[in-house]
Amino acid sequence: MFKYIKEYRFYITLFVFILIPILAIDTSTRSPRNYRFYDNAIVFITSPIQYGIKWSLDKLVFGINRYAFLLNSQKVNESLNVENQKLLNTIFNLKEAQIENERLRKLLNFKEKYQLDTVPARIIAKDISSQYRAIRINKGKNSGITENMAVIHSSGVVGKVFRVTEKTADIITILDLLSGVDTIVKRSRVRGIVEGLTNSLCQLKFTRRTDDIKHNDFLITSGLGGLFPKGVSVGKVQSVEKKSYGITQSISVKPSVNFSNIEEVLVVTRHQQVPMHTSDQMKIKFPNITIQEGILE
Amino acid sequence: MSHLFIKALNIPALIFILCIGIGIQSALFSYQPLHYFKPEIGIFIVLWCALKRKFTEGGIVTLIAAYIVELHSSAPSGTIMSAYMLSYLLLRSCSGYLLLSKPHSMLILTAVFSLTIKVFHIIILSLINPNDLHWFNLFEVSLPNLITEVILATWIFRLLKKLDWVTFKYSKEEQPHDDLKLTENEGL
Repeated sequence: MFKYIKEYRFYITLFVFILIPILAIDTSTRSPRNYRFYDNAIVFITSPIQYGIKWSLDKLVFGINRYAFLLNSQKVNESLNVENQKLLNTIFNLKEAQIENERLRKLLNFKEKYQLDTVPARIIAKDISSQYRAIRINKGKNSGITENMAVIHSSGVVGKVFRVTEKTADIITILDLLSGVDTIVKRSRVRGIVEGLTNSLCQLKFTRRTDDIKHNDFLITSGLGGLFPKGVSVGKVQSVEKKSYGITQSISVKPSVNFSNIEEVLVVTRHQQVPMHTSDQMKIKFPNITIQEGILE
Repeated sequence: MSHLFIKALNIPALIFILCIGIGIQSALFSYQPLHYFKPEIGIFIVLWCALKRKFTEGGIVTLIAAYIVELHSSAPSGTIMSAYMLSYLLLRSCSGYLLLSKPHSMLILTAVFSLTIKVFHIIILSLINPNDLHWFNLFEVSLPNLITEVILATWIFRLLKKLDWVTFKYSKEEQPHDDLKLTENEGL
């Protein structure tokens, strides 16, 4: 037996070599095989190598990609900066337009409320002198604006036109020392003249010492003189000071209009006229006081 | 005694090299388009066994190598083993007629052997499942693999030769110097 085996060992080996793969062929499925302990031993050797190479390659590819990205990053950065700047400008413009829209809507409401014919104008400059508080608007004779027209804002009286060119007009504001607006106290209906005082305050003049005027009283235009429409807000009483002597009281008024941030105004070209002239009224009220020429109309 | 011990380490070392090769092959060539150029490390082992080992030893190593390759592949069980073994036996039977005197002879042999294994594999697959085999696609993918295998052959065979030298696989007289020479026991 052993003799035959020894004699035919080559053919037996050959047969075994051919038989093993044939037996190993499993045509039923391609599903993953279950690992046996010797399979695990082999995978134990190969898997760390696979993991190590994969990790190294991933890092390498990541590094290359990152480097390639950095190469182009300056250009991308510049273009993004430009785009960002454009977008910021657009946003800024949109916000400005929105704010402007709100302001104009207020002006429109104001105009409709008082049934005025007005010319909207934009403030383009302010007085170069610090003692005077005139402003310049971008509308003039070409837009129908003439001297002594009232200039108002949605929050109240601004002033009056005192000089006009073809395309611009200078407005003397109620803060200016030369201005004067005939007003009444909304609560007690006491009359007085609002004149400029400082950059942010006016004074109420020609009120009697006994007149009922209190802190935070609202002042509105009286409509006398025909320049300003009646009932437009002028300001609010900030302080009332009654001295121990004299016939008047010292009253400071905070204007309704915030002149520091005003941008658009309405020039009143026509409104319902009040027949009585302010100076005549004043003369009636205070016969001994001379009204300065040109200040009150 | 120590020579015998080191000599006994030859086959485990060969298997270990195969495992490392498979690890590198499966991880390094997993990226596209490197995937198409993935070499089959097992082919080199089988070829080396067919040329430089005795029939039984070479056959056993071939079976083990095929098994390890299959372990890392989703190929149907036994198909790679069959292709490897058939190629091994074919080369073994032809080896008596081969003269590998020049360095590029081994490269040509690698190309032919690699192609043979792939053809055998496709044939076996077609026998197992004749209705669902896109043999042309398989063959098309195999060609870039073949190119990589030919390129890598020089270094891998040099490594295997060094392994044989280190593990005292042959006596000093039998140790090849430069060219690959077949052993005395070559052929079926």
